Amino acid sequence: MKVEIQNLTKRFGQKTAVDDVSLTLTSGVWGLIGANGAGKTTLMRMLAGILTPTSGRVLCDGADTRALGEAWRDMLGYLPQHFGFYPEFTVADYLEYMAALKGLERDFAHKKIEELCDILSLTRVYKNKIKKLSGGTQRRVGIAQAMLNDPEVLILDEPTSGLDPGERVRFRNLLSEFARDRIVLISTHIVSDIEYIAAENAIMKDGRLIDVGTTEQLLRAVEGKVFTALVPDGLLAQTEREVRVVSLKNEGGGRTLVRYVADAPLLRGSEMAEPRLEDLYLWLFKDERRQEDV
Amino acid sequence: MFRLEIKRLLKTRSTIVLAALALAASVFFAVNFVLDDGKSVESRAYLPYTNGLEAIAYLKGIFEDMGGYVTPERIEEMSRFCDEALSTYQSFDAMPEDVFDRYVANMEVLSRVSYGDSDYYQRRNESIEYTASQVPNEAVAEAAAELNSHVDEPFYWEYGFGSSDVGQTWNICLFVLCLIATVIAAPVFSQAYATGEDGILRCSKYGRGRLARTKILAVYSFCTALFLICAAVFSGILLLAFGPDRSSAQLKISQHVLINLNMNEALALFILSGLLTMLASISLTMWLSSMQANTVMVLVISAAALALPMFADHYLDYPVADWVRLLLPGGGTGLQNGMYYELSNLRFLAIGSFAIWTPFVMLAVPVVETPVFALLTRQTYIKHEA
Repeated sequence: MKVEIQNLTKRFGQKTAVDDVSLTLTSGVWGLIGANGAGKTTLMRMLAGILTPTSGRVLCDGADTRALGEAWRDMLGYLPQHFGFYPEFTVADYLEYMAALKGLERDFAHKKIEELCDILSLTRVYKNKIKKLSGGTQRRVGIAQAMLNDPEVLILDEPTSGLDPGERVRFRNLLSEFARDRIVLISTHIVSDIEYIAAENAIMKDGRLIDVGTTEQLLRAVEGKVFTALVPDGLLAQTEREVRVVSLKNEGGGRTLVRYVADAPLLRGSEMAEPRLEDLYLWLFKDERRQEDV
Repeated sequence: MFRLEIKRLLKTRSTIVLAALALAASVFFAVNFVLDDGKSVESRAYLPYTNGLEAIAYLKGIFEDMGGYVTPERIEEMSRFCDEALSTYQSFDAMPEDVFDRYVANMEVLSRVSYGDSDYYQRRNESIEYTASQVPNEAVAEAAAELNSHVDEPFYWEYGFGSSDVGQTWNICLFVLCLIATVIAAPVFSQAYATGEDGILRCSKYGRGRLARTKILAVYSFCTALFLICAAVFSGILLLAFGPDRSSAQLKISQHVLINLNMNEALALFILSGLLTMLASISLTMWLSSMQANTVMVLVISAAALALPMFADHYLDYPVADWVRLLLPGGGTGLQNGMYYELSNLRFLAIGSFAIWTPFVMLAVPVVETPVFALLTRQTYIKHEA
């Protein structure tokens, strides 16, 4: 299966949220990386058919998804960034309702709901009202609804936000297994989630797609640009102003291990480190970081 | 899907509260009316009853033998009896109880036929002709005459719920029911827009046209069932208290009623007209709901549209007022609007040489508007983008 995004553009008045994006998605987990406002959610919404593109189109095995209509939506699972639900619903009501909307046979739906509740640890809260559940559990209900119809294309916008580390690991494993012959597109701020499971990544910035590739391919951009150095605690504030810090780890004895990205080692005693997606993210979105700091 | 949508509606606390409120309102209006009408009857009968039901029972007794066709001969006979009773006893206090009861019964019927005018039927035809001729359009007079020519005479009179002012109370009750149905219908789409639920729904297989259709049908079904239950409760209480009424609407509502209609049929007509008005009103509400996420705004606009016909007569001139009042979805309800008032007042909508009696318009407009608004709702929902 192949989903082709062809020259997709979306404008809201004067603002261009997605600017001429082209991408071909094949089976496997795809990570969509970008800072806030990069256009990830808008792109996903257009892919899900919720937003009409200003121009461009999405093809599924050569057929325009807008023309496919119901057939396209039958292949689709979608979890938006903000998971909305009818406040009166219990988990059972909600999943049953969504199963009917997805056109599932009643018996199959019950089996599937049971299976997903088991995998996503929702069995205990099955009869509880969704509004009374924690944010993480609500998120899991959202994931369950997206996967009810065994979608061939699964679009998940920030699926791991609110999940605890154990839940995230279970979710990542579930997705890895699920994505064998399907397309899964995930956008998340938790870059490590993508690093573990995404076979390919697409990076967006200011509405444009700036790079696409496997994690290894993308990391080449920051190869030789990630360093660690031990810095006395007293110099930390100054260090943070001078370099793009990825992480800080207190090593005791009044010293902190600073991980940073730069074209060349800037701190005394710097050692080159193995690059990770998080380093790449900071390298690519340095401007956003500075703007946020301001 | 339909079953699940109905289940969703029934699980919404506000829907259940509103449904209970509608039922309570129907009981309240009917019971209050029965008790109040009993009291007003009591003052007419100069009897020390304090209980409305007892007063109604008393009236049922004195009207027991009064049922029958009101022929010119009978009008003359009743008129003669009343004149003789009054001239013999000079005052009500001096009348023996049985004479007083008969006097009251006869006067009640005579009050419906111009107080004993034996040419009542002739006068009625003249009144219709005169009223219709006041409209500067000959088509109105012709249409009125044509309709009236099919009205059977003499009219029938008997004691029953129609002897009260049930039409007015039903109108108020109907307005409350429409308002409640509007509140139930307002969040049907807008709530999903506001919560973000819509994004998930509309990218599921049946999340577009079929979901819109199911939601619309579910609201129609729920509100229709609620309305019919409330109407049945209201009518049931009324019929239990007063009894059914086969009287001609011309004697109980207005001499200007231009079709053959007895009061039992009139009650059914009030309910039918109310149901159609409610369906048109909630259709407009659902259309508004499919346009925007703000449920409060939907409610405000819907309530305004429902109340607008009430003000049309006050602020607009004839015939614009009639057009506006009748073409709005809430035209069939209001404190001074509704089928009861439309039957009472001889009014026509006229375009050129074509004139149509307004009760027909009141029935026809919601029949057209309901599917139109439903279709618009479906289309708006399908095209909606957050």
